[in-house]
Amino acid sequence: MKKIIISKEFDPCFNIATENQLFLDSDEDIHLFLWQNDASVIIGRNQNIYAECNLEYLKEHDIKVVRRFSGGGAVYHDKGNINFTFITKEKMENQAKFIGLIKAAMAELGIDCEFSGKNDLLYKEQKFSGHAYYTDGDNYMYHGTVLVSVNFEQLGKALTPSKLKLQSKGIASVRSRVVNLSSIHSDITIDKVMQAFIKTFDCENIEYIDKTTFKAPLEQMLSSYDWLYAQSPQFDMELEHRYSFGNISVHISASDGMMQSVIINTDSLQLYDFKSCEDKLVGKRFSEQAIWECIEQYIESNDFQY
Amino acid sequence: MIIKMIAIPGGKMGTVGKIQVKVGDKVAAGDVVAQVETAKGNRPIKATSAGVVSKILCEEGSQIASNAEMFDIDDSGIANGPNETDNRNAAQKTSKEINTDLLIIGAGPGGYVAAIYAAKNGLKVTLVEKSELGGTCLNVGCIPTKALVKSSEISHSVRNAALFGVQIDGAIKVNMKQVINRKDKVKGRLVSGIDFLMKKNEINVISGQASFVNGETVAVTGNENYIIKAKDIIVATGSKISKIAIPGIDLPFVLNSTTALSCTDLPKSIAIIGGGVIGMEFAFIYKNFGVDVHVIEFMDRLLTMVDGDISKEIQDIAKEENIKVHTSSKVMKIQSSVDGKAVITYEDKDGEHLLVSDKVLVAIGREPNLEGLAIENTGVLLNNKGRGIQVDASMSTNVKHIYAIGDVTNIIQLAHVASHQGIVAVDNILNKQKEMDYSAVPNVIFTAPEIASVGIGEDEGKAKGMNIAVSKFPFAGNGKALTMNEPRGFIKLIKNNETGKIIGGSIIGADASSLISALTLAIANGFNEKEITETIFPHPTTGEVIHEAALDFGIGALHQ
Repeated sequence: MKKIIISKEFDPCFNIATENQLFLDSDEDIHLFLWQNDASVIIGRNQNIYAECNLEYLKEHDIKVVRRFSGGGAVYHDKGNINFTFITKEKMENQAKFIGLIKAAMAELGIDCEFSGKNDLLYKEQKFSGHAYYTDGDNYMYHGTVLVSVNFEQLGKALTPSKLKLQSKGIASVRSRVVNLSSIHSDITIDKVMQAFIKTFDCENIEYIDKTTFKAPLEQMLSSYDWLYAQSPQFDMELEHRYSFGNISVHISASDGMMQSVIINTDSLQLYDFKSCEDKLVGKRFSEQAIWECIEQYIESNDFQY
Repeated sequence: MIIKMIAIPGGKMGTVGKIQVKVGDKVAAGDVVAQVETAKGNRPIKATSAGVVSKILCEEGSQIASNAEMFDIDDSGIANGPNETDNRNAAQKTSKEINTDLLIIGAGPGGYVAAIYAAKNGLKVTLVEKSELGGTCLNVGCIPTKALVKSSEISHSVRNAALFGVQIDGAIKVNMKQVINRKDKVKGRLVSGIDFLMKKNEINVISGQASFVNGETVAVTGNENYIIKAKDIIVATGSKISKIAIPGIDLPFVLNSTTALSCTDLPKSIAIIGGGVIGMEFAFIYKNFGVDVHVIEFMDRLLTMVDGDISKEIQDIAKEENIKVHTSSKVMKIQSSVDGKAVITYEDKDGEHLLVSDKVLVAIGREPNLEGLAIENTGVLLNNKGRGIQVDASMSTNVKHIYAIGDVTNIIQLAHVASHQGIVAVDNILNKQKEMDYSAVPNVIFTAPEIASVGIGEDEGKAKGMNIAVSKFPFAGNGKALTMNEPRGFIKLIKNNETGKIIGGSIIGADASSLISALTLAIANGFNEKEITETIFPHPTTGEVIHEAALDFGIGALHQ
């Protein structure tokens, strides 16, 4: 029997792990999972974390990053955003129907929108809802976001990677112009969007879950270093730092989150042999901070002025 | 078995996401091998049967069509049976337990020599090797390259036969298939020779990947799994080819030393990145096969491990032989031209240059191999470069009963050093308290002519402010060298003025690889110049250069 499951938790790891557990337990009915996250960046399965967000900004503002199972690009969530997930068996997959349901819910709120080729819902060519899907075995899920009153300033900063020169394999995000539903009709709230979903899905079988009532075994895996960083596709990165004696540039090639090769160059006229730094860094987890610390330590220990 | 991309409706392309396996990984049926995205959907691609990943035919981020081949899984080595579907369980369930006196991990020239030496001294030895007996040296290093050197020397001799009065009519053709085939036969014979020695010395050879469980216990995963408990352990896992982050390094025409040794088509032109030992040996091999060769070296000279005057001599000879050498040059990227040729962009003080060639050989060196060893489970410290295993002069690590020898220690990457270190390690296991002495380690580079050195170099001696004298004698003054039409090069001896002892020597010239043994014997035993000058050297041989160089310290060489 079809069911609506609503998460009372705002922890993105719990919610995405829950979504995956519901997906693994899918049956031939269509179920709707509604959930909201605290401020967080959710990147696509095959994305490079370094290319998608400003990790320093996220740390400062206590914004979590989570890698999801579905494909596509990075999105920013906060409590001004609501997420929906349709879960069923792959043979019941019906994208047109899912989009129809969301459009109907939007119509309920007085929003007339269209579906773009990029799997987005647009209001006057501005995106307020991005979608992606995931399939494994015979399970299928179709999920997306709905921007209601999201903090766009934070969204912009969170999704702007620091100015790194990065060549990454894998999937890159596409930037879109975004709009909040509340700025189209000021009376639209998260609660109203949720009610509209429940109404259009036409289902009275509603289950509320939280960490005490629902066990999502993958929650821990989702917050592991390996899942978040090491699952980044292979990438090459160029870092630069200006010191008083000149510029230092570092070329890193990383796979599975580990630095496979590090080449340090400087335009300084002083003679540096960074081989020992390079050797130290190779094989370690990629971390910009660790790289600069290593170089500075080397310079200090060699009594260079900088 | 080939794993293919799923069919995408509408003939659209998908994008390869994270690839979750590496070549050589074991997979069970149902294991996820890669992620693939279509539109914004993601789906895992799974292995359809158990096996070992033998080829990865796709690349992260690349576009992929329906039914395109993604992975080749070799399922031949996997025994039937349900156990194999979960290797981790299998390891716990079916591991055989072995107790041994000495466990040696890695059967290269370090490991297998140590094994024989230990067995001859009465120890019960278990030797684990994940690939072939003989290691890098025998399989993809010293020996196979020397087989190629010989073929290329013959090619060179034939091309220059007219000079010696032998006329050859008709085209001279290098059959690269046969060159590689002959190399494989030489290799095969040596590997089976080691196999014989293992059996003769009753060494228990186990095939598989070893990983430390703790300081005394090692798990081996292979066709059969083992848990080995040993009183002493020698790590001799060798080295692997260093990786370098040059864009385009994965293009199909880019070779490394291993793939070059099995490449059966001879390119018309090749660009070699790295003018070190591996790069220069290959440069002369290819040149002698008639290939147009470029060498791109980051440093300001070739072969930075030898003295500057030897570098200069080999660079001059290379240039005369039409090998194009680009020093102080940094490779920026490798690209493919529309007709599939390699386009290499490199930068020197004059700016960026483009170089077009059929193939590229990356020869930037080797680094310690700790892959899969789980050395962190032992508490063994790595050396200050953070890579190799740290050892003391007795080849012991900081953990009692664990020793390390050879390339994995990152001290000197030479087969004969590894072998010697192995003997020292075993002696210490036998409580004989030996120490490794590196003051007379010979080193040979098989360029044409060959280069060999031992002991202290001139540059090194001067840099250390030692009170040394240097003598020199050119091969142009040696009769045998002239009959061979090899008048290039010189020998150089280094004497410690304070002790009168000969402490180093370098040879670039004919037969350098053979001559260095005599010099090593002299240096290792602390000979002075008199002990050499009063020795009779046979005439006419290239060995006379040693005599002449020793005379040069005193009254001067007789034939100069």
